[in-house]
Amino acid sequence: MTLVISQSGISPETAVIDSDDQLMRAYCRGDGGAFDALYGRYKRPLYGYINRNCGDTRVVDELFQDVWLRVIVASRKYRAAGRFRSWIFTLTHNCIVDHYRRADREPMPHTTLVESAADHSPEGDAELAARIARVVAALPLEQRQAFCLREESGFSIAEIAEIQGVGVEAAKSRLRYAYQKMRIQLKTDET
Amino acid sequence: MKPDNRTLRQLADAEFETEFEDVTTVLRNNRSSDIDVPRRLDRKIREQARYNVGHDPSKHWIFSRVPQLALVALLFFSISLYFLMGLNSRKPGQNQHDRAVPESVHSAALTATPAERQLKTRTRASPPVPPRARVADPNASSGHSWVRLKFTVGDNGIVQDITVIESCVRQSPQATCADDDQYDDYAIASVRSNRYDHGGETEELVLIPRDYRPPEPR
Repeated sequence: MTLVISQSGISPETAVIDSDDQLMRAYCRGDGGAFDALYGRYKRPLYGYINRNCGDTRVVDELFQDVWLRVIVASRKYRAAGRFRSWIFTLTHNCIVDHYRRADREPMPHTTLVESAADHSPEGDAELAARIARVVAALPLEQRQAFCLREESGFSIAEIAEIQGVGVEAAKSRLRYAYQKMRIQLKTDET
Repeated sequence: MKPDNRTLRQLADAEFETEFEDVTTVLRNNRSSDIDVPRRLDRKIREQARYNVGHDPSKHWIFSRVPQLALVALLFFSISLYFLMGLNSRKPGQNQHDRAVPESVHSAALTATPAERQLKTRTRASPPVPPRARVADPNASSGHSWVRLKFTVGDNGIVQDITVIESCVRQSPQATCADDDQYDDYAIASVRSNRYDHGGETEELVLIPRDYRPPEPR
């Protein structure tokens, strides 16, 4: 992964770092620019992931902030046990699960997510993209999360299993259900 | 050769990709764009991150010097403990002052009674302080430590059959009495180096150096 120096405030030392773990360690040592670089890399994928799973803007903002606060706090004790990317997505996943558990809430009603998905400006075929977004929004939470991690963030099945805290077979099963529903939906739309 | 776990996982991913190729192709050609993070939230998180860098408690000077402070505290504690233990357990005979023969010996020797001469065993008692030593103290004839001796006086005034009845070795009047053989030995040696004599006009028994010879009358 190569660092794109587009964020302001990135120190020259940070600019030559291209590993997430190194950036996190640099931030841990007091390099504020390293955090900016990390944040720049992950803010949109994470915000998008939370948005797909919650829909309510207020909750999304709250969870997004919570995730980054946890990253800031964890930076003091951060030890690179695995890939940073998996680690931060696991953190995000746990925040979402905690959010639903905390208030003993059911995952976001599909209608809200569908509306939220329809608001996104799509690339390519606008109508088709909007339809896909609606199908994704209609998936059960676990399947939706697995699907988003695979399609939007490019995680492998094993990584998805790790993030969701389930076995590889369970993760694969969730993905298979999600893709099959997507296939059925796309074929129905074609006809 | 048997493929390792990593290879198996890659194969599983590839198989999955092939199985749903029709779906993934459509999805990747019509991907929704990522949503932008609100500026307000963006700024808030960056500020929080910078604040954390500047205010990490573990970087405070007092925390960064915890090992040194702990070492100094330990050293100070050890020195204090050493002095406290030294005061309580210091035995006489460890310095010149303590090696001096206790003055109470004179008082005790002078007041030995015939009944006490019958005692053959040496006993060591804790406080209370015997009355004679208490009497000796105000007369500046003893320090905080004292020895009570039993002996007989021969015809020529020589002190013999000296036995320690009890003794008390301590650094202050409030301290607990301790045993010290060396201290007792000094007391015995001191008494042995003297003899009793009828002194002067009062004809009281007085203790004089054993080798003392009164001048010949002219």
